[in-house]
Amino acid sequence: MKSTSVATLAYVIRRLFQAIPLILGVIAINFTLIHLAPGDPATLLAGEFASPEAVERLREEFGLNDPFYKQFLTYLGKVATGDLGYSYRFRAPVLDIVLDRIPNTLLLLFVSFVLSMIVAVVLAVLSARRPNSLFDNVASSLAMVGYALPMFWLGMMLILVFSSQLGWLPTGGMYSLRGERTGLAMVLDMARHLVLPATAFAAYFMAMAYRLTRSKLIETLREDYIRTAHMKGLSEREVLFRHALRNSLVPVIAVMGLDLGVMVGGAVVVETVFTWPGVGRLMYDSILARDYPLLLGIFVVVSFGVIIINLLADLVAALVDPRIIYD
Amino acid sequence: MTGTLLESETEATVKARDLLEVDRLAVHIDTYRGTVKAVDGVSFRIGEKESVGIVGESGSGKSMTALSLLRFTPPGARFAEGRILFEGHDLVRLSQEQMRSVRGNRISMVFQDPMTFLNPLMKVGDQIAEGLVKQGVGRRQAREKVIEALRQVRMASPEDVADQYPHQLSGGMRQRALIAMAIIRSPALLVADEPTTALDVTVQAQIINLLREIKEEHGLSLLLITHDLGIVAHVCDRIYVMYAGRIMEEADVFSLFRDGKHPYTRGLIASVAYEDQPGGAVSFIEGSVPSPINPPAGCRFQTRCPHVMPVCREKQPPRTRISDTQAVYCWLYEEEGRDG
Repeated sequence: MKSTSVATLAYVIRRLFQAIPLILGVIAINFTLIHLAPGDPATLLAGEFASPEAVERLREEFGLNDPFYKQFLTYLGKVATGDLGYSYRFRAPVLDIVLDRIPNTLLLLFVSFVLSMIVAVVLAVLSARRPNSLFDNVASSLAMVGYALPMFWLGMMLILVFSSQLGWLPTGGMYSLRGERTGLAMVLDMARHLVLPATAFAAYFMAMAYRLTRSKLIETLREDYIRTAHMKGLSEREVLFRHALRNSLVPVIAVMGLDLGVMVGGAVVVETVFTWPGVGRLMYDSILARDYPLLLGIFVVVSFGVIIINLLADLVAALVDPRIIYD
Repeated sequence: MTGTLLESETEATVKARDLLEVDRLAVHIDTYRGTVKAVDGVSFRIGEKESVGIVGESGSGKSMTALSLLRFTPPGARFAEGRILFEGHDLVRLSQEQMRSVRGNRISMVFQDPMTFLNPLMKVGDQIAEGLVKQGVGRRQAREKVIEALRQVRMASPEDVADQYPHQLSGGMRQRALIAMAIIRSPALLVADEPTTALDVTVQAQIINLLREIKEEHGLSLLLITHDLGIVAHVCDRIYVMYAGRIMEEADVFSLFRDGKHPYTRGLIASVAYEDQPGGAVSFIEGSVPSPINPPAGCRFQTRCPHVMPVCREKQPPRTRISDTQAVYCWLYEEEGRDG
């Protein structure tokens, strides 16, 4: 047991070191792409009426006149020391801005993830108990729809129905302007703002997790050890939850972990539609504003986050399945 | 349960009381191509503390017969006919709830492949304890019983094994764990469905001996399903020979091997007996098993039988009693058949 946990720790450290070249690659590709993109950040920063001298001075100040390779190396050097650069638009260090927004995105992701997993697993269990029943067919069809609906469209429809027409929920943002900023009132206010974006976000993952869990569950229910469980006189419910569901969730965890990259893309869309002050919205804004240091900084932080969450998913899978051993 | 009267008399003089009586059982499976008569009018009985074997080749319906005792028939299968009388109940007619109180408790089963019949994500001890815990036995007491059961199946270091996962055990150890699981609630009947087929030859003998010892120590009845005549000869008191969903012959183990009556039984024994002869040709039964969807009228073995007669193609042979312990379903031994 002891040696297993030591081996796992060594594995985690190795995985983190393996992340370094990955992040280097992310930086190299994005740095190049941004460099190739049209538009001059200095003009944008200086404003419409700035003199050419002022623009030139800004260029010099931000090192924009240096050759490409020099700019790249300077940037890498800074990232290595934890400095992600300076945002032209916010006039603040990039890292501070991103770290400020991350909790909001994590909240949205977490709530959507938990919501979609709970609904997906419950529906999958009900479907797998009677495959091809009416319930299964309806749920599977709905999942297909949820899978296919564009996230932005669903978001806008939710706003249209529940905010504009019915007026039940706010159209966007994270807090009411005149709302309380402390205690339970704040939490409830935030929850009200969270309902629609979390639903729009969860639809896709719910559909994916449902389809995955359902098919895996049906497969698991045909395993020989399910027969053994019945041999012991266990009820259908006990067999389903104790023997089938847990075994089916291992691959689901793995796939959901891998799909987090897609989730980041979803965050950009949903946060933009619902003006949710998260990293996705920040990414969208920084593209529009040509705030390249900020954009690049977001890429670095997000890719690091995805790597960490993938690692977590692997560790959770090992926790559930004793056959998975890392060494 | 056990009468003291029985114990005072020798087994030979008293016919053991029946624990299980299967009466003209028919299990049919509806498919798109027609109805598969997997088990078609099978009758047999198992006495208390008796070991009975059902022998047959693949597709003979022997496994389906075993599974139907616990109502583990596959989807689409139905009990078309017959009764399964066990401890005063007809198992065919029990509700799901009642059936669950029979499974693992009064009738237990050991399956073919120990590699796939254990849950890979659950500790072996927890899996063995599950049935007990469901019965309301406390955790600590259940643990003691698990260790005890593991010891009874001759598992080395039972305490360690209880805390291990199935993938940490060898095939033989897993089969021992499954046997421990099957006997932990002291069932009256243990059904073993090809328990050694998936094991190494060296381990096979150990498991077979273990089953025999367990049966004696726990005073339970054993139903052994196998295609291996050597195993039934070693373990069973009485044997039923099955072919294409029907019983062909039933006999005590000595009569069957010394004086098997049915042409199919003889063919089976011959195919084993000549196997080891140096340079000798391997004896086999020509032809193949008839289609279970449209079986021929009359005797099922007619397509391969060397002694086939016209009557065999018309009417199903009745049960012909040869002796107290032997009976055969064959026209050769029936007056009517001999004349025809």
